[in-house]
Amino acid sequence: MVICPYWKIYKITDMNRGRQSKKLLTLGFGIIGLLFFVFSFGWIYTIHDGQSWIHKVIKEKEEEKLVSDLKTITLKRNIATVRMILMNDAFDRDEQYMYMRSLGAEFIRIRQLLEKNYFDEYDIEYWKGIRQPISLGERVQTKIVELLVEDKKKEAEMHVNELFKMQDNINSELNNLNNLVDQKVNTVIRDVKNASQVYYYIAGLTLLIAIVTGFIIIRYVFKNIQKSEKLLVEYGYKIREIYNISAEAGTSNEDQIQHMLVTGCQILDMDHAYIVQADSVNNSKRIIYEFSRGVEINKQSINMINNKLCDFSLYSNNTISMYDMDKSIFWRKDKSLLNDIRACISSPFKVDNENYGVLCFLNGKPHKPTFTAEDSDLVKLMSSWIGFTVERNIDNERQIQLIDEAEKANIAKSEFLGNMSHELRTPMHAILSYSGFGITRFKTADDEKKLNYFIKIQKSANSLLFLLNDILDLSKLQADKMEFDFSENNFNGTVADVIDELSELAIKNSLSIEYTLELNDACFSYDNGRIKQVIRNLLSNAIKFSSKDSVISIEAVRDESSVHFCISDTGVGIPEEELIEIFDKFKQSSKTKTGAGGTGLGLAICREIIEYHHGKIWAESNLIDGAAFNVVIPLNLENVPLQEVS
Amino acid sequence: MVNSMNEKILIVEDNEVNLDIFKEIFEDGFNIKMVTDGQQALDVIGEYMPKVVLLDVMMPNMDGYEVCKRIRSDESMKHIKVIMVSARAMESERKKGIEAGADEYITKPFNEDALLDTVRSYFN
Repeated sequence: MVICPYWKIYKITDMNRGRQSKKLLTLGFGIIGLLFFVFSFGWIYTIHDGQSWIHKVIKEKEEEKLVSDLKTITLKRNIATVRMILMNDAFDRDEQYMYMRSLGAEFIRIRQLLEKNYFDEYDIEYWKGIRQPISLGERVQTKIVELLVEDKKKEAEMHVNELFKMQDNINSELNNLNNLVDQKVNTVIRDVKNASQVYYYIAGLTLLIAIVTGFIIIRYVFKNIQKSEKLLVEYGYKIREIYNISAEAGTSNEDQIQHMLVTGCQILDMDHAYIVQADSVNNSKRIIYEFSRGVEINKQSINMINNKLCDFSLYSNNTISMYDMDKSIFWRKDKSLLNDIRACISSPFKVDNENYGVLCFLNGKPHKPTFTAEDSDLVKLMSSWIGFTVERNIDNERQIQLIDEAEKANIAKSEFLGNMSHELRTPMHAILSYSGFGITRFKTADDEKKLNYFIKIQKSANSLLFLLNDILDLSKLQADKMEFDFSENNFNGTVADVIDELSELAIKNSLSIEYTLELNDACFSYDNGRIKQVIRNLLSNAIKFSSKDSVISIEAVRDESSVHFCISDTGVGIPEEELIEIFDKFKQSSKTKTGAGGTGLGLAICREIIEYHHGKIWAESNLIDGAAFNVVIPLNLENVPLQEVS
Repeated sequence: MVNSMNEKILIVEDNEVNLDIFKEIFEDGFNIKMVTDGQQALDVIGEYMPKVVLLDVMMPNMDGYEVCKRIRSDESMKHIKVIMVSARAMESERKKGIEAGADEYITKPFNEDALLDTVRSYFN
């Protein structure tokens, strides 16, 4: 497995449109809320501010009134002073004087009130300027009162003009003060007006922004919902198309997989699709299915990209995609690839819970604008479907194989039973027939004929016994129940023993046996009894099927690892096409199947015994006539793997 | 007793012992000819023109089924009675023999009298 640190670059960011809309709504309404907060704060602040301005205006107006009151009091005092001059009665004058004094007290109260609550620093400074004409007036009034007390009416009258002159001064000063207060009031009103205007502008703007923001958000969210709905419907259609493939009746798994590649290319808008099988043992990959349309891609590029995608996908166990490889630092490393392939998407799949391969889609052009989460999901869906189908396919093949094997075994069993029945019935038929003849012709047949019947019965019974022994041997061998007795033996001795045993039969058939045993050191480990059985079988066959006066030759040579033993005769020979099948059960060569005996099991038994010794046995046709049977037995059977007979 | 020279039987059998048994049964009273494989049987049958053929199934060169089919497909030999005599006793093999055109399928070991009766019935 190639570990690639860059794979994360290709992982699709999981874009969830719903979540995006939710985020946007939260943000948008947050902004609107903030704007309303600003608006409300401004509103409250302005009301509060306005109230303070109104208080200011009211205060200024009160000040103005109090100043006017002061003006009135000074005027009233002057008038009272003039009245005192005009009055002749001392009592009236006293009354007027008392009135004057009360006015003076009122003046002081108002002045103190103004100084305490209403005058600002500027007013106090201004007031200092007014105090002088007021005290001058007071002094004139006091002077007039003193003159009237002294009853100097004429002289008092002379000060009246001075008094009114003072009054004019005071009036003018107080008027000025009032004007000043008026000015302040006007300034306050103007400021309030200006502040309100700014506030209205801000409030209007805030409201406008809030409304526009709200509109944009709602529009975007609706568009997003619309887009999501459209995508969802498209997604649904795509999934249905994928589903339809698996629901196709009557198509093979291979066809369905091929169809999936075509459909995948269509729904993803890609041009090339591959299923790559990864062999983790050899770290090799091979394309097991492919589909291409559009512009052809260079084979080398395909293999390289497929290999890399296969490694990354299997390593990350996730979908990997690049909508434009030109933008990737990693892919850009190999410029030659980019000429052919610009976009790719792949997803791994498992078979029998093991990583098996990947589904790759490639394209010669970038996939604009990008691969979406839906694309990734679709590829994932398709790859898991493919994994499932490949698994099903493998299961099917296994089942077919099993059924096939079971059928073959069944046929073989039937054939074996048929053959065995045939082979048993043949000698049985002879026994029953000859014994029947003995009975029916007992009186008519001569002794020679009767003897012949008995000989035939005995011969057939013997061959029946051989057959049963052979069947027993063979089934033991095939069931691995045969016990082998491996021990160090001399091969020369084994062969010589068998030749001795059969030499009488050979002489009877006018045959001679030539043997060359070139074995200096012929001692090795084998089952003496079973190897004798093999040599006996081969030699007796050679004797049985050789024509009279011919020669049977036996050769044995050894090399470093094995002994090679060969018996060749000049008999009827074996046709080329039968050289292998004569080792099968109940198969006899067409040329030797002449009723000369033999169960058809001898060579099958020989093969089993030699295979048990990890050796080989085969037959050859001699160039002129006859056949040769070869046996190779390894000297050290542990070092030799079991081989099929060639 | 009919003239034995006219009661021609062709025995087709590759096993020597079996041939000997047939010979024992049919040499008295029948004109018999014995061959050891299917091809030989077809070679001689046209000239010999037997009334009955006793046909083994498992033989070298050409098996009994094929020989039977050839006999049945030849107009001049169609009338010949074919009795298949085989050690293959499975029902499927009997069926195969009858389908190939055999008049009778007898399994070995057979009853001598029963076989003789069957053969004689064809001559009568």
